[in-house]
Amino acid sequence: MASRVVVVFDDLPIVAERLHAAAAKLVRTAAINVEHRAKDFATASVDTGANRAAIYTVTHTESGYAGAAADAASLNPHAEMQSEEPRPEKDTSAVVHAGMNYAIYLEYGTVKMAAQPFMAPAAAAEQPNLQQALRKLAAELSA
Amino acid sequence: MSLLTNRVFQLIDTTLRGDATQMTRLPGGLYQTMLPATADASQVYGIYAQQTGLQDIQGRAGQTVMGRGMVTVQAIGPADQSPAIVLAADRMDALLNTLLGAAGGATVIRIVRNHELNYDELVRDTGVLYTHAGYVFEWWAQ
Repeated sequence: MASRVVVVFDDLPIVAERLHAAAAKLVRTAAINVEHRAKDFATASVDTGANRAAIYTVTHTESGYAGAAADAASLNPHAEMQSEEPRPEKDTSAVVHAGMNYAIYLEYGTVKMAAQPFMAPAAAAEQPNLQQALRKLAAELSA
Repeated sequence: MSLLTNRVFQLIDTTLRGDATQMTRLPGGLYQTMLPATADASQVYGIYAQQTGLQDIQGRAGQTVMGRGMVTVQAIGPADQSPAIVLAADRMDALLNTLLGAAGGATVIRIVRNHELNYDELVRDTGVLYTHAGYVFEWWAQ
């Protein structure tokens, strides 16, 4: 009577877990980079520096809100921070928030002042890097 | 501002000014970047402005195949004219979203809405509350 042995290697769950973890790490890195770039762009419109200091990143597990609020308050005690941005539900999401209450007026302009955007340029500048990193990850997976 | 951004501005300007309905909804006029100091802010007016600088999009061989960027287009006016401001912003979206056009010779430009804008602003020295309504558009041009 013939007999056979079947060995099944099911690595898909391991691969999926590693892919997820790698993507989450890339998203976090991109968000931190956007925060740094936004702070660089915001340098063009510095008065007290509070707006620049109030830019922070929120991920699934961490928030820079407290530090940003403290730094902004030390630079301008009269400045008002907006409420803390909620943490994203997924670890493959992150939020970079311009926390100062007047940030929107710098980003999009006022009746008396032209816009001095710092958030959109930061995100646009970082976007190609994230896309390239995700493509590299996908290539490594298929190799 | 880059040459491509300038051409996108040309296309936006001619498209909005070329529409009689739009200009009726902007009795305060249409301006680039900001309201001139001499202009009247008591009526609804329009502003288009650069949101991000030019980014080159490169092909596989590293050559630049097109440029992209973002612009804001907003209707602004005293908050007690909010319905008129929203109507003006709606018309901006109808005219510009998915617009395919040209300016500055053979430049081909595609404009697509990215997200909307809606915020209020209190001008402290006059006590007037202004409403801003409009859109951030992404553009691609070659």
